[in-house]
Amino acid sequence: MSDGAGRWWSWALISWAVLASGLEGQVPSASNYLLSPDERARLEADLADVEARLAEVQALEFEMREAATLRPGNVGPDHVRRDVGPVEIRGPRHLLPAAAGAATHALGQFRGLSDADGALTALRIDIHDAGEVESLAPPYAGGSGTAVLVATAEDVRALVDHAVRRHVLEAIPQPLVPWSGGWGWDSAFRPDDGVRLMVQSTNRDGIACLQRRDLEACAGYLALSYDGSTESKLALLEYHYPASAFLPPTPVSETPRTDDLLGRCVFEQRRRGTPDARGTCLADLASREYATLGLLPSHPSARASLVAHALQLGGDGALTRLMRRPDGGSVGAHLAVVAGTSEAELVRSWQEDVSGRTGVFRSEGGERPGPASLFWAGGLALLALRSTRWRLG
Amino acid sequence: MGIQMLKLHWRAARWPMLPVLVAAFGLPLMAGSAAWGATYSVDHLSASGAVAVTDGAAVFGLTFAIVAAIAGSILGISAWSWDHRQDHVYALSLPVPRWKYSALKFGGGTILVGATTALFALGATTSSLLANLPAGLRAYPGALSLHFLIATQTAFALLFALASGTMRTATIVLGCVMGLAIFGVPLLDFLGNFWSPLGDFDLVRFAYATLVENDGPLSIFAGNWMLFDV
Repeated sequence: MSDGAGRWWSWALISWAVLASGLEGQVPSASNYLLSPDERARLEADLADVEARLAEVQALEFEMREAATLRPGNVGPDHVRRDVGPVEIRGPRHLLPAAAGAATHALGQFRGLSDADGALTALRIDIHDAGEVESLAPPYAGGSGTAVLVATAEDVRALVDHAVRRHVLEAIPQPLVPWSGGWGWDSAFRPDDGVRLMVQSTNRDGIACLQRRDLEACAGYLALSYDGSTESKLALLEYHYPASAFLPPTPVSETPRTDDLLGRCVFEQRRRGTPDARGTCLADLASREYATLGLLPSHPSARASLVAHALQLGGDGALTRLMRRPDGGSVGAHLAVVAGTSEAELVRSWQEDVSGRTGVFRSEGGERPGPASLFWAGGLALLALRSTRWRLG
Repeated sequence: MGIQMLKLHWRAARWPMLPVLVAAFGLPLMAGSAAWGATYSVDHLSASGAVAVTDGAAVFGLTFAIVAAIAGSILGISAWSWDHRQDHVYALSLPVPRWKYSALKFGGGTILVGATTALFALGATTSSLLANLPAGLRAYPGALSLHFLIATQTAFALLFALASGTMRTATIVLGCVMGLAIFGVPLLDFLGNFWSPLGDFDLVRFAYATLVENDGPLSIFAGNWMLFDV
């Protein structure tokens, strides 16, 4: 075939292909003859409706299955029970030893909790193996007195520990726990951080407490008069943020930091022309517990160091005694009960311990290397003397 | 013989050790320089001074651990450099058992570790004496020097044990460690495609927990290395 004829055939084939593809969409297919446009629309609507219903049914089924499985008190066929003090644990046999160990450890960490059976209400923990439960729910701690956990062998200890700690902290009369940031109650707490922050504090009371040993300044710095009421919050904020600090020539910064709650609030109120911007803001912030506690000059870990000190002073059963006390009263009065002494005496002894690094304030800075370090240094030396035994070549 | 071996060890280690010794003396001085001649008063809020001192101590604390590791490693490796150079012929010709020969070398190295620590302690003590610390802060030259001694000795013993074998031994062991450090995680990820538990295994976390946490052999290099603290 000549080149001219070949080119002609090529053009013919391409033209046919282009025309055929252009006509295909215009020629009704066989299926379109079976349905009218109305019928087709109705069917499509029905299909969409069925899909939506199917999704609803599946969601409902999922919720029912999850509720049936994870409801407190619902236990699987292979679940066994183990009691640790006031904590009743039910769960798969293979997860129970770790869970019981974690509960024992968590209860043992609380200082002064010597009579857990008498002081704590019962806690029931139901554990489900994460590998066997069809759930998208996160590991879940339930309401007061119950906890339902979806755990693996790796995280069961941490989850049980969290549930037990939360249960103990819930039993402590308010407002001690939010005031201390939830710290200081167990032996895992290191007061050194609190002291370090206290040393670095720019608050006048904090410095006077540490350097002049002014006990009233200590009480002010630690906000011992806090009792959780709006009045006490407002009084503390009025004390730590006096009106003189907001008068010219020290006005609130033109660009307060985002974490400067009070500064931003006063800035906003002044911009709106509110006559008493500071008073309005203090009243507003005093209605919120975490805002108030966040504005106090002392860091929660410094306040928690007083908790740890009080528990050490109170000795055996200190926390148990506190739990039997009703809510209310200032934190100073509560901690005095824990320590078994007066509030003034508690602050004095705390100040002495902070200054002398005694009691719970054993300094981290002077920490000596532990015996394990000496063991490794010696062990490696012995290995070096016997090194020919492990030559590879 | 011990003295001769100590001299030999020092001759092998002196040049690489020179900058380390300067750092061991100088870094504690630099850590405390922020507090030299500082004045504080209750009315003038000394807290900013405390922040500067503790921040400086924390930053320089990291370098102390590094200096201890480097000093111990240099002393450990250099203890056997002459033996490796002469294929252990001299050591084998001596009428002493291997363990005694190693013990003499180790003792000499320990003396050099002690000398390095003494220099560090001198710097830390001088720095502490010169520092005017704000209320609530204290200096810990003694405790820190003890920390430095144990850390340097641990690094020395580890590298001494490693270097006391043949070069091939050291190369294989160090090669395995480096190989695991570089290729361990990608390799486990790859193998996890065939057997999922391998993919879930956190090698870095495991290594850290084994070596550093839970009183592991390198735990001395973690912890608090601050010359000035509460």
